[in-house]
Amino acid sequence: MYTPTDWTEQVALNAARLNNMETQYQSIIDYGEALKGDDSAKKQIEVVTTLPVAGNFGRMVLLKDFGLHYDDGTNWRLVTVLSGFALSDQGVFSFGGVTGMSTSWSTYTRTVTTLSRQGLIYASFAMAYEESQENDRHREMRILVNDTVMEGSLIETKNFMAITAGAVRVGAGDVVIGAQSRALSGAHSSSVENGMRGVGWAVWEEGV
Amino acid sequence: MPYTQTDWSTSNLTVGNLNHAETQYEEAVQDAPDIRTATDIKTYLEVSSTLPSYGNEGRLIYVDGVIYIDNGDEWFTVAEVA
Repeated sequence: MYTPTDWTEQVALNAARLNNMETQYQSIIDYGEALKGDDSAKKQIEVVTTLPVAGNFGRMVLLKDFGLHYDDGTNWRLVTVLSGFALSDQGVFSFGGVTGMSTSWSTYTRTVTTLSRQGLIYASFAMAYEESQENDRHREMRILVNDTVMEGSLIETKNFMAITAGAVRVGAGDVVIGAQSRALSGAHSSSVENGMRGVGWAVWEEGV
Repeated sequence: MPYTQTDWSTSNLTVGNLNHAETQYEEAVQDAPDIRTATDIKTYLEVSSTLPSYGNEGRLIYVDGVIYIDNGDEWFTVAEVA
């Protein structure tokens, strides 16, 4: 801690007092470091609305309304979700047979639930059908949540396709799941028949 | 950049040396924020025997073997460490 000299006409100007004056910089820096190591002082970490670029090992941020993250030097790692998400609803539904398949997306949508707060959605989409030709593995499917395509992993065999998708955050309001499928070329459009499609989903709502 | 002290026992009382001494505050203000991100300086969590009122978003605290974080609306457990 720096103790200033109370300079008056009667205070001698000497090397000791001048050297004391020279310690102001280090006193401030020492104080700052002490604050960082003071376990009685309130500390708040950086709060962000979007994760910044990673690359500062050890940096911690609170992603507002979601969770605590730390930077491992390359990526942001989620430490814990702070929003208190809990499973609030789930279901399955099936729709329409599949006969023929266009190269345009065939879309089926359903409003599965309505959230009063933000939520996390998980969904999967499967389709089984009879394949009259051997030209399999030329179809595509995907899942949309509120018009946003979910990242997913596609499985395709001769008579079956399925896609699983990870959790997607959605805001309060209706949750609309869209299931889409299509053929990748016209040559594979008419060889599918007697198909069935189904979707499974679950939603975790914040603070319930 | 760190301030270089003048040793007045071996230096003359000059305008230059006195003005140099006057730069300490500004140098400290510029360097102090680096303390926040320095990874070689120990950082202690706030330690308390009881969980205080929430309402300070981003506040981390250690209470009786549990680390909590305040999201502004309530305390959440980050980890149990004891």
